[in-house]
Amino acid sequence: MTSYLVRRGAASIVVLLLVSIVAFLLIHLQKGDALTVKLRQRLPEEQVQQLRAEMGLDKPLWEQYWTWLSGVLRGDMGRSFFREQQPVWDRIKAALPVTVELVALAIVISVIVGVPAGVISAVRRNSLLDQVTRLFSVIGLTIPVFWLATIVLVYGGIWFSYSPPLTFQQFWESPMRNLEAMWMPGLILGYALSAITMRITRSSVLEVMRQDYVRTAWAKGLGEQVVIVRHVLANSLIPVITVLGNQFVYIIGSTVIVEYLFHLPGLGFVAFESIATRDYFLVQGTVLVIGAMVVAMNFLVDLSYAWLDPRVRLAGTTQI
Amino acid sequence: MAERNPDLAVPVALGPRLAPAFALEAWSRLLRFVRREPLTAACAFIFVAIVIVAIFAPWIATHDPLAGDPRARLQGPSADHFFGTDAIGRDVFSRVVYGARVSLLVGVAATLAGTVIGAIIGLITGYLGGTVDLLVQRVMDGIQAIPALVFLLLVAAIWQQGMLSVVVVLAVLIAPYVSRLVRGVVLSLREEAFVLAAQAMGARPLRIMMVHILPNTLAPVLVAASIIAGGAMLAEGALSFLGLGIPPDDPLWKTSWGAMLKPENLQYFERSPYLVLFPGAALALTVLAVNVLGDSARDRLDPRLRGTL
Repeated sequence: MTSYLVRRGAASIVVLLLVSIVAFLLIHLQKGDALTVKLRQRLPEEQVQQLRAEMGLDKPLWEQYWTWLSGVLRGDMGRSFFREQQPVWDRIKAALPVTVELVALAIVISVIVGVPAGVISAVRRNSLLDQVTRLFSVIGLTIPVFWLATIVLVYGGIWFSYSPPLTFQQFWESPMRNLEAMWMPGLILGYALSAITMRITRSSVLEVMRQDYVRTAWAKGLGEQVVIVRHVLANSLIPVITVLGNQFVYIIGSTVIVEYLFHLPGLGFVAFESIATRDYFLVQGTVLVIGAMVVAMNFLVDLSYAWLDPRVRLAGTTQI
Repeated sequence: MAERNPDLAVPVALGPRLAPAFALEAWSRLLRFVRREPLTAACAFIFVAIVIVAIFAPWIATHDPLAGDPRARLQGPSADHFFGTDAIGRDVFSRVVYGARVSLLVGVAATLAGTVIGAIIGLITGYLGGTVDLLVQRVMDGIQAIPALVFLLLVAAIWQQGMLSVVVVLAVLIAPYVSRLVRGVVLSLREEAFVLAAQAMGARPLRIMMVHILPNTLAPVLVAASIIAGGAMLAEGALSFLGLGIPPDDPLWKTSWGAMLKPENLQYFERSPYLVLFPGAALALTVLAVNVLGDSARDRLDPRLRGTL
């Protein structure tokens, strides 16, 4: 068990290091830098050179990378080029809770809706309820998130005079005001995610229901509830968790769209804005934090395997 | 085993001289398909229709998709403008027609390129194993730890915008998925008797990979390809929606469905809400058709999975 965790943990750190390199290279391997965006007006050449030296943009790439990475390891992610050189971490610290709340909302909705719907759909296979649930799931899988969000904004505004609040408050400042801004984007992401959760739960439950031990449980005369919950559901959760873990990246990506449309100052919005202004350190910091969230989630998924499936736990002790 | 396959048996029994009867047979097979799998049949029809629209866009479009008519701004659907007109008086129907080209091209090109690259990587790393495999796996993890949309934004905003970069980046993002899929199949086949036999007979690794292993990866890759293509279309839509994919007045590609929904136009959407419906519905229907056809292909290629998803 421990060696399994250590191996997964080490792999996570390597991946995170790679994310930092990718984030750094993507933004640095290009013609022109932040100065070309920042200095719309022409400046004398020596002044540009001086600014460049101040920002450390004249050094070789590997040195810039190393300076940045060692700073990050010490807890200093550099400063933004704009907004009076606000430290990157301050910006990320304010944005992180928004995105975490949004994603948590989406995951909670998808588990509350998707898992029971998938189980019922599988147990009552081909019933009317199954057909309706599957239709909703297919729509959720294919409807573009940006279209759904636009429809909500446009038709919600026309029919229900819905509009998202323009100012945002953190949950601990004012829970009601916060949820007022959050519930709709959370619902949109939650619907997209529960469509996938439901589909995987259904197929996984159908698979498990064919197993011999389930037949044995029925043959023993156990009640439907006991068979479904104790024997079927418990064993069909692993693929669901795998898929939820895989979808985490997709949901974080989608937060860019909903945060932009619903005026939420989260990480997705910061990523979008900083990329557009080529705010190097802010982009690198944001992408690194997003990558860290994904890697952490994958690690948690690995952990849950070990917890749910004794075979993984035991395999860890025999290998290496 | 004794069961006859009626689909195969009938034309043979009819003999060569009954061509009209054969056409009739094909027709009745089509009808049977429609009756048995109405959803798949409907999606096949939608997909074929969209492909035709994409290929013959210049003949199907009723107006120039880029030419705005200032006297006809924000009009509702009419006989002249089937889907109405947008904020600068461009014909929405013609723009939706041209949008099909972008969506399908991105879906096909990115999926094809990403699948080929991913399959090669998966084949080699899975078969060789060892340090190379470990290293490549971690690089793939690194690429997958960055959300596709953020990756696309980075490249589009900072490097280059347009069709080519969208396709290239999507291919780079697709490759890890396919490589993982192929690698899994290769790992499970590496110890199979027919591979060991080929090795014992002195076949070189390249031959074993190409002749003995590659064909076995085809079915799972084909099935995954439909989901991947749908995802690629959605990603292009989202990128264009955010203003960093295909622009809404591209001289070559005209427009993308995502670009037609750009949030800058929100104030016009509130005045003419039908503007929101058509491009999004076109994208959703295309992705739906592709996914359902992929599911149906999976059922045919692997009957054990039939009806489970």
